[in-house]
Amino acid sequence: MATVNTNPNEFLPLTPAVFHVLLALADGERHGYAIMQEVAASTGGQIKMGPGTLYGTIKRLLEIRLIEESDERPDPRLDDERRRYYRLSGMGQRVVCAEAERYAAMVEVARGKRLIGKSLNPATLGAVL
Amino acid sequence: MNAPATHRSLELSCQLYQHLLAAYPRSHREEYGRAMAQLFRDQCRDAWTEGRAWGLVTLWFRILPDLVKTSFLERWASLHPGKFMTAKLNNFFSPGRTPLATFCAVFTVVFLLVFTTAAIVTFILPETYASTVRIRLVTDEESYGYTTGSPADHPVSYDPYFIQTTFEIIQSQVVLSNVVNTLNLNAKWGKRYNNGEPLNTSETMAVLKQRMVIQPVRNTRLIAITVYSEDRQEAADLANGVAKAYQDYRINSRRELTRGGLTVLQQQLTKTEAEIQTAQTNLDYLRTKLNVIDDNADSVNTTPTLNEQVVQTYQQQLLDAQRTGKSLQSELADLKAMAKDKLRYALPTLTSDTSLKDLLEKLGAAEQELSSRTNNYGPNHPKIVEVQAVINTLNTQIDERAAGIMAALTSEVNARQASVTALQASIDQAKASDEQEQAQTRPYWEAKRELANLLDFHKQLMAKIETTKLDLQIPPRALVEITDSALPGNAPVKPNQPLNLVLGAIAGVFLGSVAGIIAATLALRRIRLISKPAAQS
Repeated sequence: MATVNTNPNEFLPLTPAVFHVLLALADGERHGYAIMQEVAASTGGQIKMGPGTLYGTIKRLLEIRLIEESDERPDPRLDDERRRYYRLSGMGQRVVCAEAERYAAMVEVARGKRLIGKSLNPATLGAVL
Repeated sequence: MNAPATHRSLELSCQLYQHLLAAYPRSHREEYGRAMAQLFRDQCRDAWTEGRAWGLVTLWFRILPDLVKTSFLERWASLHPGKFMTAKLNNFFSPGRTPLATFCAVFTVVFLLVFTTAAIVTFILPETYASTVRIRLVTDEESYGYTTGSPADHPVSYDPYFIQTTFEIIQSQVVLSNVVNTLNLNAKWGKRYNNGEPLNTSETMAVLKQRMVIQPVRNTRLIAITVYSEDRQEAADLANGVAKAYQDYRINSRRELTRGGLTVLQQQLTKTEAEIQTAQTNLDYLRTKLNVIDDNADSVNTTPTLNEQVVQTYQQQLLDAQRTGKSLQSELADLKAMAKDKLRYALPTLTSDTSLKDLLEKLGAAEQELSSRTNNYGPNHPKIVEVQAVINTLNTQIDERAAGIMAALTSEVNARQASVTALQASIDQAKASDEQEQAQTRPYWEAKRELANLLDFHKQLMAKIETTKLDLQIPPRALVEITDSALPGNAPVKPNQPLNLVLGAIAGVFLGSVAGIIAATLALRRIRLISKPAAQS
């Protein structure tokens, strides 16, 4: 079992895979396929996580308690009840926010250096990440 | 999802991935194996929807590196718990590793990656079966020898483009459209390749052409039609269908040609019958008009008064008479030129006149008597005078007799000359008569010959029509003979699994060695860079 950190900054910087998974879960709990689809959609289809990468990341995030498995199961008529759902933990929420702020600060720096425009395509940003 | 979940390629991919999950540590597999397999199944369905088999191949090219990398990292993590995966990955290339260990690790990873990719691609590619039908070809000209006589009756000309022309016909619309219709390929392949929507015939023919290979069998009149399909029975059905469609095409073409020929022949027959009717009427008219006596129905010429044999006999007789007459004339001229004392002795050798012979014998006896008496008596002695008188009398009689014989000979020569002249006149008259009659009746005989020609032509037309009708009734199977029907293949011809695996292993060894050498070189350089400052200090 990994050591539990209470300071979100100690987890930073996050690897791209970890950040994408945490971002995908920011809207609510999702199962693995939904996480993969969300990552693909947010990056304009440029990043399609394989099962190994996705569940390896999930495993690690579970170990360091940034996410947790949801005990609630959806209505079997709406989805496959065998799927496992994941959601952000409190620490996970703080870590993803901290990482997002870190990226935002970097974006501001880049904008100040006129490396990028005022508006940034989310898909481009996702692909860069 | 449009694709059926039970599609063979999908099932095979999922099963394969399920097996490949063994690359992960047991604990990881037990915890996430089912979820990973389910995620992979979902991705397979998405890939199939996007690009069918090619989408699956693309997915595998994306999944395999992910699988190799993450399984390696998970196994590493299980051996070194408590470290973050990326840190473990960095440690993998840490300066502490020896170049040999780096080479082995990189070689193993690259080899497994390449070999597994080759294996995956080999196993998920749809299997293709091939079936071949062989047919024996006979040209149209040659085929007439089989149905309407011996080949010697129909000299065959060599067509150097026959085989190539046949290839093009087999791949043409007239043949392939029949195959498409007979086997209901528009609906069948539409269901398989066009989301259930039926294909149109041109699309189906294009697919069929791509799956078909036609090759000549060397040094024979056989050609092999090979058709490829993912269904072994369908491949055989397609090959047999193409051969049957081509056979039907040739038979129908021949029948159409024969029917067209029969129509022309029957039109010609009708026309000829009308001409015969007209010729017969004209012949009857001429017979009456020219007063021709024609007893022989087969005769197409006037009967001459003097036939050839009679003319020859007459000519021979005429020659004999002329020769005899000339001989007699010659003898008579010789006799006339002789003196009387010689003539009297020459005539008995030419004629059998006994009187002259007796007179000559008596003259001889009298002269002998005179000779004997001359020895005993004087010239005026009565006995001499008596004998002399007898001799004179006999000479007179002999001269008269010779003159008579000469007159008879002259008369005979003249008679023979007259006979020859008369015979010649008779022959000339008979010839003139025949020529005149022939000239007079010539229109009749010409008309009769024309009628005979028409009747002969009519007879030939009738025979030809009967033969053509017989050809129509007998199916000309000899045009295209299916010597070997196509049978479902026992094993797929593509992909060649052993070959692909061997090639994958060879490529894995090569690429793994190259990558391992590069990694080992880099590791060695890092060791030198680190050890250099240490040595300097």
